[in-house]
Amino acid sequence: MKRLFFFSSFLFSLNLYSNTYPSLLFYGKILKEPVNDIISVSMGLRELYSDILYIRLLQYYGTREEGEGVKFDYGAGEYPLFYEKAKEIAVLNPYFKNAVLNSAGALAFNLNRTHQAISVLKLAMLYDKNNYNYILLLSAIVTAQTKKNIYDTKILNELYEICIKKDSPVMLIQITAFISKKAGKYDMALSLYKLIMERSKDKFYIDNAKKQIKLLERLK
Amino acid sequence: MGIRTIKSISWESAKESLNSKFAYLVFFFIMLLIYVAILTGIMAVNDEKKVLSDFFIAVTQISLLVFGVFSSALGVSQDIETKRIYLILSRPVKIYEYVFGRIIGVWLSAFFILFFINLACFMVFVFKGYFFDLNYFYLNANLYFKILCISSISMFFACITTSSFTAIGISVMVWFVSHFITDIKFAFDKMKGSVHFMKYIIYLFPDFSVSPSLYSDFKILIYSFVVVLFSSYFFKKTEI
Repeated sequence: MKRLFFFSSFLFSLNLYSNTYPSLLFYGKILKEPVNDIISVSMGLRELYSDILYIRLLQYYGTREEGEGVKFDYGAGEYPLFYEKAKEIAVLNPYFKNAVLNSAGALAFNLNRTHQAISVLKLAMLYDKNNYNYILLLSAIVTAQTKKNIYDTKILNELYEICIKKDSPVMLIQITAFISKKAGKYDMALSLYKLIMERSKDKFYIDNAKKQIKLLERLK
Repeated sequence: MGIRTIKSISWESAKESLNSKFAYLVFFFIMLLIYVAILTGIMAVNDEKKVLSDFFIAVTQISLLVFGVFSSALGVSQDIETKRIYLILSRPVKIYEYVFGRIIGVWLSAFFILFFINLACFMVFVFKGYFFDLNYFYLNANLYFKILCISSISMFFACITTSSFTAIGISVMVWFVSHFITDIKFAFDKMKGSVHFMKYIIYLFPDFSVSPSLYSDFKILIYSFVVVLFSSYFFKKTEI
């Protein structure tokens, strides 16, 4: 009995783990085929099933859409199920870089559903926090929105938090600084350009940052 | 500990497992699935390499799961049924040496199968113009550790129950639960009352739901070793 107790406590202490994959039960409402998802995950086939879903998404998006008396050209169409399918892949495997990037890119730039694209990206970023491909696409989407004079302060603040991290790329800081300036957040933009001065070794970035700092100090 | 005894038992056990009809069946099943993988990979367009490697990993995992669970459960029960165990234990062989020899034999044969599958996969990769990356190697290592663990669990239940079918059934259930630990833990966290305390039971299962890492592999290895240790303890107590 003593040994059994020792055995149980030993196994117990080994299994104090932390979660890294999203919980299917938490995202239950998002899942279109929960039974398939649960079976594949419990058999240890999470990655393979997310690949199959991605292939299905590609087939869906690659098929010409037809409505009542309407036949869209290639590249056009509404694809109403695209967001749900993309989100299911992100829930199953947020580390599937190409699936997340392609689906968010298609939603933002082809289907003009920016908020849905941001939602897919942010869902993946909850788990794959340090993936700069996701962050760069997010900043690209926000930049595209800025050109239409639409500013999302919340996302801008999130991008700022990512930028001030030690290993964030200078290109991302540059993009965020530019958007901050356009959005009228001069303090934020100023601190980001100062950050570029500290971190970058590229002459183009440094010269541009100096110019922008002068301009922003005048504007303040 | 009689290393030489364990070595000879494990070597014989591995030869027996690899020469069985079951091993050939698993091998041909894998070859068929590799062919399916090539067809599926084409549909993923730019992500063909990822789909191919994921398919290979999945095929290897399922095949080795079936092989590991069946071999370790059937090995012990067949030795009991054919009375061969009396021949082995009548010699100066201790029970723990027999159990360790048996399970190491299964681990060795699983390693050989893994090697041959990877050889076939490597050929497909080269044919397609891709090369193995380090991530694929890590995934294979993680997969092998999971197989070590589940075959040890199968051996554990075969030693307790002396019934191969019970051992196989319970091991497959443990495999499902272990991959679903994250979600079960989430569900138990949401529950209130006395049911909430049920969540501590899941800590007894090995955790296969986390993403592969050196730490998780080390935990699985230690877990397997402890399970084999307890298998030999319970096998000693079992009346054969």
